[in-house]
This record gives sequence, C-alpha cells and structure tokens, in this order.
Amino acid sequence: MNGGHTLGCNLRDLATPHQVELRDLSGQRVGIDAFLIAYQFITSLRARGEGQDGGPLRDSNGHPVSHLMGFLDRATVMVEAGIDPVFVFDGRPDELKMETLAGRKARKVAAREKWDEAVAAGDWATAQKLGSQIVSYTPEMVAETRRMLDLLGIANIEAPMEAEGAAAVRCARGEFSAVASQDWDTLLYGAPIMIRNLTSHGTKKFGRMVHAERIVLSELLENNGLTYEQLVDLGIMVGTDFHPGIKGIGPKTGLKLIREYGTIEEVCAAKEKEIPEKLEEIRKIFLNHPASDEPIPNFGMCDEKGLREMLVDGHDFSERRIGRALNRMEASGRLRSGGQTSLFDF
Amino acid sequence: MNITARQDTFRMVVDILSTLVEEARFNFEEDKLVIRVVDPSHVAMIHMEVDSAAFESWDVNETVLGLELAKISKLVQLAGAGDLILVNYNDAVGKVEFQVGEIERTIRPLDRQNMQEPKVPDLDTDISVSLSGAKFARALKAAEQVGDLVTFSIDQTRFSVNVTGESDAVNVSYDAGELQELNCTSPVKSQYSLQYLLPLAKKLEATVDTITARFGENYPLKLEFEFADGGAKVIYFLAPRVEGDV
Repeated sequence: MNGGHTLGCNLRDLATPHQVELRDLSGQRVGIDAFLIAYQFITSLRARGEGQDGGPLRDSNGHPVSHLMGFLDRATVMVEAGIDPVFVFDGRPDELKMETLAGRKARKVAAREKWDEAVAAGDWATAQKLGSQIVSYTPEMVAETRRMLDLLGIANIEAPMEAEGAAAVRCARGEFSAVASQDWDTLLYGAPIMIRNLTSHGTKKFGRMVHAERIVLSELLENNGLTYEQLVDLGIMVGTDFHPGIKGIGPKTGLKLIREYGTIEEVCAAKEKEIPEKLEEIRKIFLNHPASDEPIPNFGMCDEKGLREMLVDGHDFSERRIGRALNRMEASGRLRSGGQTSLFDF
Repeated sequence: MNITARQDTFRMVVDILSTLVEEARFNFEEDKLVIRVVDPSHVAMIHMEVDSAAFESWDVNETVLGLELAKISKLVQLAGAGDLILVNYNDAVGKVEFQVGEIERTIRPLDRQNMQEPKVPDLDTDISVSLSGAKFARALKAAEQVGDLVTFSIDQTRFSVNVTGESDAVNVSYDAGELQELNCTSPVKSQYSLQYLLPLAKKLEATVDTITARFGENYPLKLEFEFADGGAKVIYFLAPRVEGDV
C-alpha cells in the first residue's frame, strides 16, 4: 500500500459517485481497508512545525503515534455516527505483487537517503517535504492499532491476502453493507458497494471539504456496458498491483477496446499486443479472491481503563484527545460509566 | 404472511420496544410473535412473546422482519384503540404492507443479518414483588424528581423505592398488604438507572395490572408483565448500578 503513487487501477472516469453523509450509513456494518487509511494518517499527521523533521508524530519516548491518533479519532467518529466499522488488515501479499512492493520499497529507500541528508544539513523544509515518503506502517504499528481497536471494542480482522479483496468478498456475501477503501481495485474484487473518503469525510484537503461517496458496482457496469469479468479485464489492461498493464492503454482506450472485443485476449489479438504474463492467475486474484469463512466478531464495549493505560500512560495522549474519543463511545452506548454493569456480567 | 392486530395491542408492542431500541427483529413463528432486543451497551433487554391468539387473524409461515420502530409507531398512532391493523408480507415482493383503515403504507424491512439476537441472561433469584403498573410508575416518577438512580429495597414486610440526592430525598414504601404479592427471605437492595426504567414504567402505567419485579443484592432486575389479556408476555431485564467503577 502506498499513499503517494497510483493506487491500483483508476476507475474514477467510469464511476458515478453519490455523495453520502455518515448518518446515511448508520446501522450498517462497513468493512474498512485499514492499511490505506493508516497511510493517510501517517502521511498527514507529521511533525511539520518550525525546525521539525517531517517524520511521524512521536511520544516522549520517540515512539510514533500518528497511526494511533488517526485511528482513534476516525474510528470513534464512525461509531458515533452509528456505523459498525470492521477494520480489515492486509495478510500475506500474492507473489505477483512482489514487484510492485519492491518498487515502492526502492523509492522509499531513495527518499530516506535524501531525507537523512536534509536532516543532517538542518534543511527542515526539504526534510518536511520528503517526510511523507519515508514513513512506514510497520508490523509493530499494525499490532498497536489492532490492540487499540480491541480496547475500543471495535472489530478488526486480518485478511488472508489483500484487505480490500477480502472485504469485497465478504461484502458480496452480504456480511458488510459496503467496503470503505480509496483503492479502486475494491470494485475489481467485486464489492457491490464501495465507499470512498469515509475516513476523511468532513476534513479539508487543499482547502476543500472532503465528502464521502458511494460507488455502486452494478451501476458502474450498467452505465459502461460492461460485465464484471470485462471490468476485471479492463483493470488488468490499465494496470494493477499485480501487473503494470498493457503499454499505451489507459482507462479510456481500454474501455473502448474491451467493449469492442470483449476480452483481453481478443483486444491483444486485434491490436497486436502481447497478452499479459500469468493472465489467468491475475484474473483469479480478482474473480476468486480468498476470504475466510470465519464469522466477523461483533463489536464489544470500550475498555476505558485499558485505553487510558495504553494511550495516556503509554503514549502521552492528552486528556482532551482521549476524552473526546470516550465521549463519542459513551454517546453511542459503547462505554458504560458510573458503575453501570452489563447484563452479561451476571 | 398475513396478520391482523388490534391497534392497542400493536401499539403496546412497538411502544415497549421503543423505550430501549430504534429497530427490532420481529420473528413471526408458527403460533406466536417473538421479539428480543438489547440496547447497544447491554444494560437492558426485552424478551417479548405475543401469542397468535392475541391477534385478530393469523396466517404465518415463519418470517423474520427487521423493522424501524419509529415508522410503525407514527403509522399506528393514526388509528384508534379499537381499529384493526393489517400486516402483509410477501417474500417475493420483499416489502411489508400495513393497512390502517384507508391508509396503505409500505415499509421496506431492514437488512437484519447484522443484527444481534441476544441470549437471555440466566438469572437466579427467589425475591419478588408484584404491584400494579400505576403504583410502579408513581414510585418512579417520584424518584425522578430527585435523581437519575433509584434504589429498590425489600425485606419480609415491605418494598421501597428511594433516591437520596445531595440535598433532597424521596422514599416510596409499600407494605406487604398494599402489594399484590411479596416474597422475600432476607433483605436486599439494588440500584438501577431511571433512564431505562421510567420510559417503560410510563408505558405500563395505565395498561398493566400486575408487574412482578424480581431482583437481588446488586443484581439485575427482571420485570415481568402481560398485556392483551395475557396474550402478550414480556420480560424486561436491567443490569444494576454498583458503587465504584465496574
């Protein structure tokens, strides 16, 4: 996953997004692609003050906390809106994705070298500009995020492979009302409904208010005269995490060609292009993505004591920050206070 | 599925559930309607069973419908107590049709697969008190004047409801003779939130002849009552407040 570069395959031109308010999703269980939003948090919540290095926000022990701040804030906003969020984390990537991942890593290493130089030279402006390219969402940070979600009583699961893939499969099975992701691949994995900007809804980006939007797969297919299989072929032609795509074919040309010829094989035959290597395998990743049959855990109650220990005692979170989150949980009945017991304590 | 209910019966079902939740799963079984709801924080639960005999007509193949209570409540309020409410559901259409007099209203049921069907807690106490809905409601309305938390106490001779605030206090006591029944071997008390109890008590005030309250020392409260001439049976569970943090 990556914040700055192209994410999966860009289907924006084909989609008809409908604006949604958080309350429209009230009462719905939404699967959320956790890695993508983790990157939103760690690239946006950075040390960018005077003389700071542009890296992640840290506690007094130098431990990064941007991811925890971001998840705490946005997850509790969703719960307050009545949404039942289930965070889905990536599992082991497919072999075919290794090249993409290696490329991202190489870019990160190169950026890191430049950042080190800038910090050594005290060039804070350059360091801050590079900051978003050097931050990582490490396995340790993933574990911390999931521990915090557990304390909040918010469900979280690990996908066998791609988070948005497993979430899409579960959504198609009816276990989620929608999948929240920024990654258009979510539709290639067959999610009937995808929500973009869910976690950044109501925040400002480049001075403009970000609005959550719903994209309906069946509508996209119908409006563009495609079958689901053809959409997957189109995605593969344009380029995905598993294959760079066919040179010279962008979303517009691709759409025209797939409508005319029906499949990648036919397009390649007609246009004398080379059929992507391992095409069947790539198709299978989208058409038949692995997802566990394990039921999704239900949400639980928020553990205020545990949360305070972890975040206030452990990571210097301010009373204001933790208080705001706890208030949201209490308002939605997910936190009992003042000695109120639960029926299941007996 | 095709049923007809008297407005007052149907309204009572919806009113009672609405004191706790905004939507509910209606399980229409072969010979009864079963509804079980719990609030999100698991503080209170309602288990309701309405016998098919409490309906004017009953033609049901097992059907489960998730319904938004506010919508039904508004509709039902347009009718009078003796009016009939027809409810029809056809799987193929996927919509619930309500007919109230000249009003025909279609409601799409909620997707209820995410909705939890709570397990009824297994509570064990032999201490109980029975009194009228009117007495119960009056005691709680008095309590509300002083605070948010009410203490129920009982011994061999009396049942009391009281609240002690910082400056004010209120106590409502009923001797065994003023109660329909009192079973108590040793004195106990327990505290409950009025935020849950009062809205319920107000619904029962004029409609329920007997409420049986079972509880124990710092123990959940179990309220049992009937309506629709005994055709509808309700158990309301409420977890106690205890001193200090849980």
